[in-house]
This record gives sequence, structure tokens and C-alpha cells, in this order.
Amino acid sequence: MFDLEKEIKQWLKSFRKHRAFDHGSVREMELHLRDHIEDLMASGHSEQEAFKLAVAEFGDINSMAGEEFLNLKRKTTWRSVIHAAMVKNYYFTAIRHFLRHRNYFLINLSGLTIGMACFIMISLYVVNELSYDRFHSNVNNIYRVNTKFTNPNGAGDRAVSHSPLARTMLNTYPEVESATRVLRIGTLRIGTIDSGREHYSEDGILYTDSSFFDVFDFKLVKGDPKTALVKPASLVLTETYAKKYFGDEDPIGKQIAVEDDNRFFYVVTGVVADVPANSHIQFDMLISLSTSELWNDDRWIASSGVHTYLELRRDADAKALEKKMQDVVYKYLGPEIEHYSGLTMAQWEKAGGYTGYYLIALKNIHLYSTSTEELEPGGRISYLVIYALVALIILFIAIFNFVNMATAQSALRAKEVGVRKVVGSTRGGLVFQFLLESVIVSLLAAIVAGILVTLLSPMFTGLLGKQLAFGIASHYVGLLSLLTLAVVVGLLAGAYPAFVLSAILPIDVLKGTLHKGTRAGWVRNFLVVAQFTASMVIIIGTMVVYQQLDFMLTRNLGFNKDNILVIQRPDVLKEGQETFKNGLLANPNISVVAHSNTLPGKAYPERSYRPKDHDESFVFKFNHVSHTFRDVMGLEMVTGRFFSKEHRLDSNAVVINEAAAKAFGFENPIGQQLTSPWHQGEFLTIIGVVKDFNFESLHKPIAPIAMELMPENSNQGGFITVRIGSDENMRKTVQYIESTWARHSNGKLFEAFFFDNDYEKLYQSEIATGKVLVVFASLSIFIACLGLVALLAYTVALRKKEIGVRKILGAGMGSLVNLLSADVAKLITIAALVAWPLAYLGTRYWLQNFVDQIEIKAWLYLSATGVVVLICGVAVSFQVVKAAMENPVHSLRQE
Amino acid sequence: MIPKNLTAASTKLIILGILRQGNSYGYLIIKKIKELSGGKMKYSDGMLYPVLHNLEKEGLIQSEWVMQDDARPRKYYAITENGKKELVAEREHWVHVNSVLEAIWQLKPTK
Repeated sequence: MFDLEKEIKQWLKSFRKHRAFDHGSVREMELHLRDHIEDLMASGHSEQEAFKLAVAEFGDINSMAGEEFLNLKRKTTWRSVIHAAMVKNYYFTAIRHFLRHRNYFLINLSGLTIGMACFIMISLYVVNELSYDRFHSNVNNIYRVNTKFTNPNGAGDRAVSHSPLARTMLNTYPEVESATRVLRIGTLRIGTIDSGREHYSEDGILYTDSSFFDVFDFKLVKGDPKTALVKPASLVLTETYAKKYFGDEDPIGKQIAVEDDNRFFYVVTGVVADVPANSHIQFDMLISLSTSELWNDDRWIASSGVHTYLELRRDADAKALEKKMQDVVYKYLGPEIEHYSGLTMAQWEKAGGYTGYYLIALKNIHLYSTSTEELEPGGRISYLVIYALVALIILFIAIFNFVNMATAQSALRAKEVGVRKVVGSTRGGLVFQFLLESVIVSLLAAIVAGILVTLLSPMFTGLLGKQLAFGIASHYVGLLSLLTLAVVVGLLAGAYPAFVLSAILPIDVLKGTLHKGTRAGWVRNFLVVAQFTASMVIIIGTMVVYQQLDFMLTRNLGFNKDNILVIQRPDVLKEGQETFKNGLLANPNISVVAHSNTLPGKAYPERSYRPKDHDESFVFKFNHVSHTFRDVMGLEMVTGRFFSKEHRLDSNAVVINEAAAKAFGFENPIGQQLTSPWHQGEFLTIIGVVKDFNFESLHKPIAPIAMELMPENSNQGGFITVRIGSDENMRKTVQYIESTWARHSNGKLFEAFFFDNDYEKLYQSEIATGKVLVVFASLSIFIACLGLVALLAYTVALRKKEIGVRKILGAGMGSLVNLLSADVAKLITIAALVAWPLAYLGTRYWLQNFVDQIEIKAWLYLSATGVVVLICGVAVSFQVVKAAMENPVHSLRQE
Repeated sequence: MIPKNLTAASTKLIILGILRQGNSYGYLIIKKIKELSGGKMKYSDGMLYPVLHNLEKEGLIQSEWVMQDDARPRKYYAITENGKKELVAEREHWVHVNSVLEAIWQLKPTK
């Protein structure tokens, strides 16, 4: 039997499949069909025929749905979803919701705030590093000439080049628009006329050509950039230093005395704005390079190494120029090489000699340079990647917190969603509402985070050991990015909750079949696992970094770098070196004093040795040392002995390290005889082998080294090293050393540093990374725990009644705690299982940077996991125990 | 039979035109079109509604559910001021097209 009602219902169902039709439209179609059927029946068709005809004439529903869907798309513009009145309503609903659930809201907010603050700080640092030298308007056309060389004294890649190069490049190649040289010679003692004999030691001094301001954009506040550095003895001060020397007076034209140069007074010709922190050229004052003729003659090899910067024409091809400029080597350097080596260029090259120039782009100097003798220690791009990763991870941990809380709390919003839907809210409208809510939270968090970052940035720069060129509020771009960050984080954090919340069906809410707090449980679990995995990886990573640093900088050095004061330029003592050293030893707190040509971590020359009766020569790194060097450095002997005063013949003795012994292939190196071109035919005897020590970079394997005794009473340069007995009286001892120096040096500048400080500066990136990681690892675990606690507090609140009932039925404290924390324990176990392999791979990758790596032991993983479990346990147990202790009467009384 | 695309192109004008006469609802509108075209314009009834909804979205017509005690509720559509303006404009276009066509019918084949 044909049932019209049933058929119509069936027909209408095919509309409901399509999202394009809302309830009203479907009703409209139904009425149309009924009207049509009525008409058809009136004209004599049977009910069934009428239905069939009407449906046929109505046409294909799918293509209609397609049309309608296009409409819908056109319809879902901003304006149709968001009515101004509704935005206001959404806003107040959000605020009301926050206030009603104040505690959860505050936890959410603080997690997000800390996460964002971390992210902003690290990003500031990363952006700062990436921004190095980019403030010069010609940054893309400026290059520095580096030198690569190999010769009997060693091989290297230097940031400096020969002094006449700049001039030659400018005159030879039309591509070079302008060229300037920068020379750094260390510390000078400087005074003003008014200060009398009082002198300041200044080490931020650069000598530069007058073209310095053509190439670079350092801004001259006073004076003429064209002429400021033309005349000899012209001096340009930074604003800070102008103030330091002359206060509020106009410094232009003032005279300055330089101690080592009593030919004339220097004249201040300009004041330059303070150098931005993101410049690889840092200075407090500039002096014209024309001041000394030494720097401007035609000698190449004998010249001081200067940093040569070239500004190329806009259309110049740097690669091509780099190739062409090797001609300079043959034309100008060649004759000098022939002169000094006594070989023709061809012979020299055949013997392995090489010198070549290459160009490094100004913007790459800070992060990518591998050269020695940089003006400032550079950064490392690989560390920046680590920083960026850590920043992102922390941000996401915070975002996941937000997502978790918002979805867990969906039950709180279910009624609202149901009612909104019933009175006609579209899904788009609801999505917008919840996104708006999360953006409001994240805007609040961003504001607080911005303030936090500004307040805490001195601590952060202290941690990093370097200044930042700009902060979040120093430029409108910073504030704009903060706003963008807030919106992006808001959208990221809000997207999934909005999707979940807007999907709530009113029917479920009204029927009461909505499962409280369990919706999308697996997503939440997944996010919790992700958070703790990330935290654990960071913690394990941090522990590995710390262990490696400790290993490198103390245990594996092979020498003792602590409590050593290094005095530079002992050559200024002339013949007084020995009496100076003896004078030092008079202090009971000074145990040993040594003299050496170079020190661990500094540059080494090379010498070649040939074992007697062999025809093969070996080129080793070389150091001249006094016989006390071993005692000062704490070197360990493997066999034989070190140089000693008792042995008169030690002037023809050599001490080598294990690597050198291995290179020679001697089974018993002691007593073996060597020849060296430096000793013209005399034989040298190996008297001892020291245990390998890291005398060069820790990033390189230990090379062979040979040490010879420094001739007595030599007034060579190098370093005097003083081992100081104990940390107490350190200040007094240093004062004693300084005054002894003053007595013997005829008032020459005392330049000294603590060896460990100086040595650790070489590994500043590593040490800073270690410290930064520790701080952020702890913050990451803190944020993750914050989220977990909030989540747990919420579930406990939901299960309050259940707990009450269980208690009444006789559940003990233990089983309740077990009940509540079992899930958490499961999640953390999974997180640990995921984190271990990830951390293993990550740390292995990082450790590849080092030659001598620590072994990653299993206990490290276990203890990292233990730390996380412990922290979580403490955080969670408070909630759980509180819930388990609660008197069931309170939770059950309500009804 | 009038081709589909021509039908589609003129639907907007036809609906606006019908509504200018007075408010109406979907079923009546389509009945009217069929009547006026003498069945030459073939629609599937369903395709009318997306057009109506689109016109409403563009603000050329507006709708209202009308409940009556003795009959089914109906969704009545009424033309708006904007719709009237649009109709005038549309009409001009068509008059223009028509005049071109007229001129073309007058052309004699040249040998």
C-alpha cells in the first residue's frame, strides 16, 4: 500500500544528507512538494502518480544541493557569521566564563604566559643573531677578504688579510666601489690633557681607513664622515666614550694622549653613535690608520694583518671577483714569498705552500665564519637551530595545556552550545565564538609575557653572556609580532576546542547523554604524552650537554686551567724577565711561574722534524716552554721526563705528546734523535712523552705537538703563566703581581687575564647553550606539570561523587590514589618510551660536534625520567590525596 | 524548447518580475513561470530554490514565513527596493540585447 507520508519523509531525508540545506529550506521543499501533489491529485492523478510526477519535476537533489552549497559558501562571509551584537555577547560570555572558573582560567593563563615569555625571549635572541650586520644599508654588497694559507709555519684560515690588499683591490678591479681596513691591536693606555698622568686602559680601539664610513653605516653624530679619519692621529669616539672622557663638553677638537705614542696628541674629530650589539665590528673609539706609516707601506707579508672590507658595485659578481683576485697573490705576494722562502713560486707551491684569498659576505660573518682572528667571537648557526626548536617545543607545550583544558571542560560549555544552537546559532558562529575566547586569553597572556620579557631580559642576557640589540618594545615591529604571535597562538590553541565544542549536538545536551569530560579523550591523552615526551627529551638533552661540557672543560682537558693568571707581553720587560719571575715567587701564594710562547686554546706555529736515519719529515705543532711549564699546566708524563734545570743539554731536547709519538711510530720514543731545520744539523733528543692534552680546539682531534725548552733569559713574547695557590687571597695575590710588574716594567701596561675565563670564552656558545637549556628545560617541565595538575583537578572534581561513593563502600586511601593516578602513570610511561629513542638520536646528533664524546649511559635516561616522574608525582599527589581524603559527606550531600 | 543556459540567464529577471506583481511563494512562482512560458521554459522545480535563496542573500528580495490557520505555512518572498532597481537595470540590459537582435533580423544577406 502506498504511504504518502512515509514516501515524503524518505524524500526529505535525501535533503538532510546535504549540509547545504538548513531546517527552513527543507521545510520549504516539503511544502512545495505537498502543494504540487495536491494540485496534481486535483487534476485527477492518484496519490502515487502525483507523488512520482512531483518528485520527477522537482529534479535532481544533488545538483540542487550543489547550487545551494555555492550559495552557502558565498553566504559564509565574515559579516554573516559575525554580527556586531553577537561579538559583544561572545566577549561577555567569555569574560563571565573566565570569572566563573577562575582557577582553571588562571592556570591556563599562566601556563600560556610562561610559554609565550620563553618563546619571545628565545626568539628575540635568535632574531638578534640573525640580524647581525644587517643594519648596514649596503649589507648585500659588502664582503670581507679572508686568507687561507699553508706554509711551514702552519696552515690556517684567517679573518685578516695583508695590509696593501684593500688599496690594490680598489685600484685594480672596477667592481670594487670602496674598500676599508680595520686593525685591532689590543689595549692602549689613554688619557686626556686634564686627567694628567691618569690613564685609562682601553681595548675597544680599532684603527680604520677614512673610507670606514663609506662602507659601513655607523652613524656619525658629530663631525664629517668624509674627513674625520683622514689625518693621522684623528680619533672618533662613541657617544658613551665621549661622555666618559669629556662629560657634557663638546669633544670635537679635544686632545687625547696615547701612552705608547708620544709623538703627538690625538685629536677628536668625530662622535659616532654607539655601536649596535648586533654588529660584528665592535668599538669604543676609532683611530685613523694613517697614524702610522707602518700600516701604509707596500710590504705585504711583513704587514700587520688587517680586516679588509670591500664594498662591491651593485651589479658586481662576487664569485667572479673572488676568482680574478687570485692574480693579486701572484703579482704582489709572489715576489715577497720568493724573497722570504728563497724558492721560486713554483717550487714553493710544489712544497705545499699556498696562499689564497676568499670573500665572505658581511651578513654571514657572524654565524658562518670559520676563520681565526675574528674581531668578535661569532655565533653558531647549529646552536640557533637548537634554540629555535626549544622555543617552539615550549610554546607547543603551553598550547597543548590550553587545548587539553578547553576540551576537558567541554561539558561546562555543552548547555550553552546546545541553547545557542537551538536558538539558531550556526556552527561557524560557534567556532568563531570559541576562537575569539582563546584569542582573548592569548592576548592577555601575550601582554603579561611581553612585560615579563622586558623585566627579565637582563637576567636572560646575563645567562647568554651577551647583549641584545633590541627588545620587544624597541620597535613597532616587535609589538606587531607580539600581536601576531598572540593571534596565531590563540587560533592554534582554540582551533581544536572550537571544533569539538561546536560539534556538540543540542539533542545530546538536552537528553543528558553527553559524556562529561570524556569526549575526545584520546586526543587529550595524546597531547599529554606529547608534552611529557618533549619535556623529557629536553631534560635528557640538557643533561647530556652539561655532562659533555663538564667532560670537555675539566676532566678531558689534560691540563688544569684553574687558578692560573696569564700575563701578556712579557717582552716589554726586556732583560728583566727572570728577576720579575723571581720577584713573583717571593709571594707564598704563588707556587710556580712559567713562560711559554703560546697556550692551550691559542694559535700554534709548526715545526718539522725528521727522525735520524729516516727520510720522512713530520710537521708538528710547536711550543717553546720554560721548564716549569709542566708544573703550571699540570701536564702528565707518560714516559721520560720534562725539561729540567739540572740537565744542561736540555736546550737540545724535545718533549712530545702521545699523538706525536704515534705519528713517528716509535716503540720507545725516549732517546730517539731528531733533526729539524731550526737546529741546523744538530741532533735533538726526545726526553719525554706527555699525555695528550687538548692544546687546540676541543672540536678537533688532538694533534701531535713538540715542545722545546725556551732559552734562558730570552725576551721572547708569549705568555708568563702564574699558578696561584689558593682561591683565598686571590685579589691580594693579583695586586702583588701587578705591583711587581710595575716595579720591573718601567710603568708599562699590565695586561693579564685568568686562564680559565679566557679559555672558556672559546666555548662561550657551548656554555651559554648549556645554561639556557637548563633554565628552559625546567620551565618546560613546569608548564607541562601545570597543565597536568589542572587537568587532574578537573577530572577529580568531576569524579567527586564517584570517589565519595567508593569511600562509603569501603575503598581505602591507597586504592583511591591508585584509581586517580593510574592514567597519569600510564601516560608518563608511554612518554618515556617515546622520549628515549628521540633523545638518543638528538643527543647523538649534537655530540657529533665533538671529537671526544661522553658515553651516554642508561642511568642518564633513567634519572631524567625519574626527575619527570618525581615532579609529576609531587604535583599530582597533592590533588589526588586531597580528593581521597575528602569527607564523602561533602560530595554526596548536594542532592 | 528554450535551451538551458538561456533559461538560467533569464531566471533572475523572471523571478524579480513576478515578485514585482506581488508577494509569492516558491510553488506559486514556478507555476506562474510555467504558465507564462507556455511550458516552453523547462525547469526542474528544485533549481528555483537556490536562485531564490541567492537573491535573498544579495538583498534583492526578502522572505517571511506566513502562518495561516486554515492553510499550510508558506515562505513568502517579496521584492525589495534594491530588487526593484536591479529589475530596471536588468530590463535595460535585455531591451538592449533585444534591440541588437531586432537589428540583426533586419539585416539582409549581402551577395
